[in-house]
Amino acid sequence: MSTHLFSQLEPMQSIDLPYYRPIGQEIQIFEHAWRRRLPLLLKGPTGSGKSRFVEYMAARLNQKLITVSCHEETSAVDLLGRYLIQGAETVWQDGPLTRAVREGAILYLDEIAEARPDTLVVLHSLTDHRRELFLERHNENLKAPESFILIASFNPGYQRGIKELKPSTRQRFLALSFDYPKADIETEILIAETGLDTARAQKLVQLAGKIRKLVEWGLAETVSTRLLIDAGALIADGLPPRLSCEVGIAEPLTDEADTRLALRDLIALYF
Amino acid sequence: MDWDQLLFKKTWNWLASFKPGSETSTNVLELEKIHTRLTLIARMLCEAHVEILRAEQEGGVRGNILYLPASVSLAASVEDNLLFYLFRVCYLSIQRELNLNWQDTQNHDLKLSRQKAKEVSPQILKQLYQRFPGMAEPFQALIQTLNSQAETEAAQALLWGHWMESENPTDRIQAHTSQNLPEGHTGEMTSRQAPAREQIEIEAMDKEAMQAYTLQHQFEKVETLEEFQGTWRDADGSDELDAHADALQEVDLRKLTRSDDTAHSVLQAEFISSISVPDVEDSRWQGHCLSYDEWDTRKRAYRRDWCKVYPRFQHEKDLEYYQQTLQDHGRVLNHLRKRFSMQFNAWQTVRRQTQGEEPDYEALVENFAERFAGRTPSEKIYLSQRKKRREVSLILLMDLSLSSDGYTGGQRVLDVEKKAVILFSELLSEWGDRFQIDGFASHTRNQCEYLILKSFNENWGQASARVGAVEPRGYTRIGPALRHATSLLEKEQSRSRWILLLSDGKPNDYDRYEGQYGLADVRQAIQEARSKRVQIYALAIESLARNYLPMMLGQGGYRILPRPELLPEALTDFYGRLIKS
Repeated sequence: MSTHLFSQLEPMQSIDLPYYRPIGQEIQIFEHAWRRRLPLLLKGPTGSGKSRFVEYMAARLNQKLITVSCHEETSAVDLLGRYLIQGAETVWQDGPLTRAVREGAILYLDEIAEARPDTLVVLHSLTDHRRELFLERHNENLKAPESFILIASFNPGYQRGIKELKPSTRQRFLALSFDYPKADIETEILIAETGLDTARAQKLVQLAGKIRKLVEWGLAETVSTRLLIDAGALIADGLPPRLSCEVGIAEPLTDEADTRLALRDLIALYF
Repeated sequence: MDWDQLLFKKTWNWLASFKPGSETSTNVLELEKIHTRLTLIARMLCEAHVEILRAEQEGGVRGNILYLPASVSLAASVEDNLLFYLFRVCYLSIQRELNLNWQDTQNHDLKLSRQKAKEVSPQILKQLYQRFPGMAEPFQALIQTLNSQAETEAAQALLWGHWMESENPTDRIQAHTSQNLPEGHTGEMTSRQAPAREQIEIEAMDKEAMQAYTLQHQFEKVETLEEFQGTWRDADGSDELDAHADALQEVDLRKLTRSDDTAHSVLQAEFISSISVPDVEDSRWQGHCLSYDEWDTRKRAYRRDWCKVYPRFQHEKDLEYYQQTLQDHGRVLNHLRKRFSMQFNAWQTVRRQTQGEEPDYEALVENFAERFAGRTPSEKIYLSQRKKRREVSLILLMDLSLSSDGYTGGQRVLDVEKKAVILFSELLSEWGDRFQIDGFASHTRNQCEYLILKSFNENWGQASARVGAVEPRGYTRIGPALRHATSLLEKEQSRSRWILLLSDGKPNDYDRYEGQYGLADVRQAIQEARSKRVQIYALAIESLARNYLPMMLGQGGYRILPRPELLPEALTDFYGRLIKS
């Protein structure tokens, strides 16, 4: 497909776009998916920019964004809507999913695997050619407007075997992998987000590169771009770099004494 | 020992204590204390899976192994000595990256090797300061202090180490058969630490030499092992290590001989073979066996029917062990029982019932709505509390290899595991869950033992005495054990099927099952299990496990416990998490 298709989709300058630095072709993919009404699954570790990307795309496409953070107790009713009692009457209240379908917004289900697998089945009719939502309780059949699209995010490394997506749900999404950006891009992001000088931003990224190598050997989660930005923000704000990294990187990652000491030693090598 | 020998020994030890370097002052920093910490730093700096071992003297780097002095007392304070280790790790990581070492595999003169190492130091230091400018100043100060102090050549060499020969890539030894394996091994009994050696050669133990040996007469009358490099000693494996403790510290352990006999005494030497270990030929052990494939990571292909797994039932019992465990840990058991009932006895709310404890407001509202709409409302408007049936099949898979014979926090690892398994099983059976208890150990691919302590269909009462009677044996070939457990679980109907592995996770067997090869096979076995919807979770006690489990199971697939007493609780937690999902 040629790119001129999207010339009309260029964001209007008047819209205040959140900062997002594209790493690959995710923007094009998102736009194509949106135009073709295909649901999209964003996979990737914590703090790698999934949510920021969705915010950015919603602003860029000038669409309303409705975000649902899924958790263990998220049920179908929470997504679809429920009756409430008001006086002697019952009043129907739309859930976020129904609202998104009615308004033709972008619906973002954050951490979709956290929700109970059976609740996600209500999404199925929305994600295939039918593109409709049947509200059993309300006896209503909603047809999704053109602009509605479903986006979900999922962290594959987390709670393996215990919290996985059902294959039948997974199959309904296009999928896009996110990972921590390459050193030069991450440096760029750090500078843009925190206003840190290039030299110190580079050092932070080098440090992160070393720690990320350790992941397979002992840390449950590694240092995310988000953590780096936090540490960078502290440094830019005037807290001593070594201390900033300790509270911003070493301490959040581990409680294990040896690992913490090793991380502090490594930080001391860089700052 | 006679009185004169005793006198001599005492005097000698007293004299030996005056040797330089052996003084015990407060500034000494032993490598062992900071080993984990340094290993982590080294791995981050090298961005590879490197190991740290004790050096004979100053050490250096070879392949993925960094050699560091066993203890340092150069600087006045412990902190400065720590700085020295940190410096060496940074320095060696850069030396490793630049590949500044001998490029051949020959032995080089130590003096020349030290000189070479010193020659290239400016080059490495330049890189070092460039990369870590913040540390340039303390490092420079450290170097200056040590240089001014160093009197002997050896002391000077501490800063720069010496060049080591490159890794030996080829097999130098022939495979030999492993047919006449003795029945019923008893485990090792004594273990001691050997002095550090940086270079070890593997020697094949060939049958001819062994036969020739029997014809020779041994002229040694004095029990000494020093510089013993001569003929074959009879490998009868009796336990007399402690009697030779002092002599053994002097043994020059530079040769490794691999033999089929099970050892009773073990002199522990840190050593990671860079020479690949050969496979063994096909042979059979008696009894019924099953063949399983093994993954060859180098060829990226399966070796068909490579391992023979012998499933066996454990018959030996130790009822006393079981009773003693329950008696000693009655309080723990009660505590766990409470947690169990909190987690598992929790009533689950069932909606839309015709009768129940509370009105289901959602159903009630619907009931109203329907009535207003003129339709017949549903009468299922109550919430009810019920227990739901859990559908879990679980295999507790215990690593019985000799690595579980080690001690942690004053208790033998296997005993900690056995006790935890007994307590956990006690609870599992009280709540009526399907579980099996198995153990595994191996002695080459031809003899992978899979011991069944309690099968799914047995009562815990029938099996409870068996757990106590298990003793450590053999090596750790994890892959075949996992594959066999997976095949057992495949027959289970439960929705959720799990293997809970109790092991330090270090794959190791006599024939080649080590390092990358072993890890890759275990990883493959785990993948196979997952594709058959059998999940694996590992629990381990020692920090050693941190080197292996994460690589095999990935994030979230394991837990390493800092203290052994946490094991029963960790088992309960794991199970709670499992059935709630």
